[in-house]
Amino acid sequence: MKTLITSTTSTPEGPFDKRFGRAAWFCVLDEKTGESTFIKNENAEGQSGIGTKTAEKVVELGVGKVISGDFGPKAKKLLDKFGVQMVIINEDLKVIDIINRIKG
Amino acid sequence: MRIFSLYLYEQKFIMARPKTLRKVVKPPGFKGYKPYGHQHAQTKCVELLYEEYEAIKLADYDLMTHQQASEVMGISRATFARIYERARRKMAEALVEVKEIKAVYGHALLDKSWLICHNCNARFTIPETIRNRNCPVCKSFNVEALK
Amino acid sequence: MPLKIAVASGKGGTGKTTVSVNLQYFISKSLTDEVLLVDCDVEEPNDRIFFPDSKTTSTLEVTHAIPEIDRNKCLFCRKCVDYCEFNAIVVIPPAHFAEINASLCHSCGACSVACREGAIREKPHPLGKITTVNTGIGEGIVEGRLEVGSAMQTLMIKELKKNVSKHHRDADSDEIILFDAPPGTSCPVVETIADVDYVILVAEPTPFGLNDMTLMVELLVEMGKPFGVVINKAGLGNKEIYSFLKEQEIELLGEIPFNKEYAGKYAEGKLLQNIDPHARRCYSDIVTSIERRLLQDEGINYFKW
Repeated sequence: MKTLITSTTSTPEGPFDKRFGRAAWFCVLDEKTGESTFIKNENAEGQSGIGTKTAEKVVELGVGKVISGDFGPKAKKLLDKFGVQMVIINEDLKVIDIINRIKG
Repeated sequence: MRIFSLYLYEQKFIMARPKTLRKVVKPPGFKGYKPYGHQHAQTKCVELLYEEYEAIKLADYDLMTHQQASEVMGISRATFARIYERARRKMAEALVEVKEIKAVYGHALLDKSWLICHNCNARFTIPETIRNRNCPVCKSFNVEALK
Repeated sequence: MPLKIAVASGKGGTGKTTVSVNLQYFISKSLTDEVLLVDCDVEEPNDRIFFPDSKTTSTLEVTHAIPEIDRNKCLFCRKCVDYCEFNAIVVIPPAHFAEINASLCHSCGACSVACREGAIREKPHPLGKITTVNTGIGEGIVEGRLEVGSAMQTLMIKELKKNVSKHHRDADSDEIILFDAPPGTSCPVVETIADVDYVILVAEPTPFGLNDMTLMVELLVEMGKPFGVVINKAGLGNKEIYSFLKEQEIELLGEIPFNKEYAGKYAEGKLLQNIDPHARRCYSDIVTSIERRLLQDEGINYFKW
């Protein structure tokens, strides 16, 4: 299963972004292979409806689990609809810390 | 026909069919109950699952028939009867054997459910597509429904 | 053409409603009986509360067109998504999912133009109600009330104004239309004052009042609207607002002193009963200032005073 982690930078050493739609980068982690790739969020600077746009992207990427700091109501609804697991982490962590926690 | 039934038998043998999730409208408002006034305090406890609590609530507090209650929880009447029976036996066991009651998550599907992991403090949802009932980050089973 | 005046304020609670309701009353008494009050605070219209004996004469349901996607016709090409300025359309090709979020949609119609397959159809969606009320004063009140939960304030105000101008289009009429604006300086306020001839700013002499009035003044200057200021609750706060008005050469139309009894009357909804002589004088002054100001604008320098 693929997991998406919101990130402020394009490296695992960078801090994790607690914003969902407005995160600068997305780290997509393949839990089977342990590989992670970074995708730039083109909608980060948009006016409105960013949460929906990002949720749309998540579903398109075939991600099963999203880790972020919070989710807006519209994004929540959409992710719920497509059976995407939402995870909220409220600590200041690096992306690599979260990856390590998942890998155990 | 024989082969088919054998196949079924094997299937059953290899892996139990995953339980359908039982809808729980609201998780219990307590974490547990402890007996008092008993000299030799028992350390053992019974684990009351959320769906068992819900079954007791629907049948004995909301005074629904088993048919109505099973519809609320999204399961068959027979399954409801089984859960309800187990819940009553657990409560009886706790009372008679002076045991603590603990509320445990079980196989509940909460309406608008968010859970918290007491190990890593992550909050998460469990959509119907996901089988695992543990924390999606640290894999701990020490999880509880958020109210 | 009817004369349009908006009553606005940057800060909430400065007394837009008080001033609007009283102005209508005093204009109807001393100037013309053809004076209509339009409550543009569509989220919570409350001008009506001050007229307990009022009667609703007509109600009009307003709808706006929300597009819907027919998933059987949709090719999931995402052209409509590109056209949508408000990110209201979600299209997920692999999941064969396409939906429009009504709360983000501004009913601009761009997606219907974008779709070549005819998969997008517009359906009416309730927006709010326009109610005409006979209050016995002037031409009464017209209020817009937005559907609970809707964010389309600006659209509702647009519909309300369209409705008002449809019924009051007479080119020769001398009537006055007062618009009670919502608080703030955002889109709904801009929509309310966009086509008015004059703006009355209600301010209060407190630091907050001054700050928010300054924002409003900036807005009005940018929009090129003539305006004057009424200071409500005079006697509270400090004198800074007066030096600001002097500095900027903004006309002070009048002052309404702060009075606990008056505030009590407002709270009871008895704004227009037994108006005390002092308040009467204040409002008469304001009406005269507006009158003079307007006549100057029109280049007419004679009047009956």
